[in-house]
Amino acid sequence: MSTVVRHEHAHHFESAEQEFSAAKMGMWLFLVTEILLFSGIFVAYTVFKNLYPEMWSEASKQLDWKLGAVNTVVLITSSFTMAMAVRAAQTNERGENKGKIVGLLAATILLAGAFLVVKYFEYSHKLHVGTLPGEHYFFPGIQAANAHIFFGIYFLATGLHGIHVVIGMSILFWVLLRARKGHFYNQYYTPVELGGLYWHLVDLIWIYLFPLLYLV
Amino acid sequence: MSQHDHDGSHAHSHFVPPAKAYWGVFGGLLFLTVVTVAVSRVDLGPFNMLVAMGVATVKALLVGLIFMQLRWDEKLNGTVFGFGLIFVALFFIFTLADIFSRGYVDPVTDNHYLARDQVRALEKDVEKARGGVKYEVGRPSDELPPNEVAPPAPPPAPATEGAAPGSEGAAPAPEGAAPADGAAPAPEGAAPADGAAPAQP
Repeated sequence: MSTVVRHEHAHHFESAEQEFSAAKMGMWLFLVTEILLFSGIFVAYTVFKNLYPEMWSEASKQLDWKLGAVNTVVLITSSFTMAMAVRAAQTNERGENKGKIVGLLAATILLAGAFLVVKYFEYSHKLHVGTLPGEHYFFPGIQAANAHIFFGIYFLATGLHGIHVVIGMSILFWVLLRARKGHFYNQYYTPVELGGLYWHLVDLIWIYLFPLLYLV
Repeated sequence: MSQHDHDGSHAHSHFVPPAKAYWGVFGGLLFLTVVTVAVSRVDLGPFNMLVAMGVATVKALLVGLIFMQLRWDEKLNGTVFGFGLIFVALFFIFTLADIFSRGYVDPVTDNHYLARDQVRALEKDVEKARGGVKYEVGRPSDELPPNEVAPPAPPPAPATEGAAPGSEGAAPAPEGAAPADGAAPAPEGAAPADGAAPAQP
């Protein structure tokens, strides 16, 4: 079995432990800013849903909840494989878990890709029928006025979320490459852990977006 | 981790959650997804949203506490996150308190828009830019005399559009919806009174 590459903590930290804590708290602070970023969309959602309740449910029915549900399952599964990847790194003593870490990270990335594929089909359908934001809206099938607002928020929310999926995939790919080199073991797995936190946040946001957009 | 003791960091202080916990959460999340979909198929009126958000919050707690390990983590991280959520709550409270209380104290006049008037303004803006009718899809046609709409003309950039630097992109907002409208839905018309204010001067 391959051994691991030992990590030396940066000189401005007292210990590897302190380095880890600091990095992790920094990540949580960043995640808070992410939540605040998305909360703008959630506030807009609440306002417009309450201004146009009938339009909202009519427009929401244009979304295919089955695709949304599939993507929810895909993301939940990816969160699970991510958590298991972190765990594999935490319990990796001398490289015996390397294959496991890499495999679980690869699974997470693939599931993220699957999510985007489903999203692609949803988006292209909307581009085709015209359920689009603002002046690009040309869908004739909704009776209520101002349905473009729903789709504006839909595209903003899922688009921003989709960007996060892409960023998450890139980060996890970088983590995967390092894992292959044996960089992560039970004394040092900060990037796996923080990448994981980011990925769980992406899942967390989707957990709210799915019922809000597809099931109202 | 013999060679690594120089920093005295036996990271063993980091609790490694049992794999069982992750499997359990995974199962729980899948189950709750089924629940939330199933409930949404039944019409419970306002309770649909309540249930959906309740289920989502339970799911979020599972992810946060177990997958993200907040349960076993240093308290500071959870606190940081909790404070973030407090600010989200403030964001919601003040915004909604504003939007949905307009007209409670003073009647809504031309200068005090109801939130939905802003949307009407946007709508007209787009119509103007398109030189026509496309935008009022689904609205009863008598509400919108199409002949009053400005000629196709060079699209004067509906606020969002970057292409044409049309200096007046912003302009249509105030003039459009407000004046004719303001009168009708005077009593905090925000909520229901939908088609009530077609107002195309």
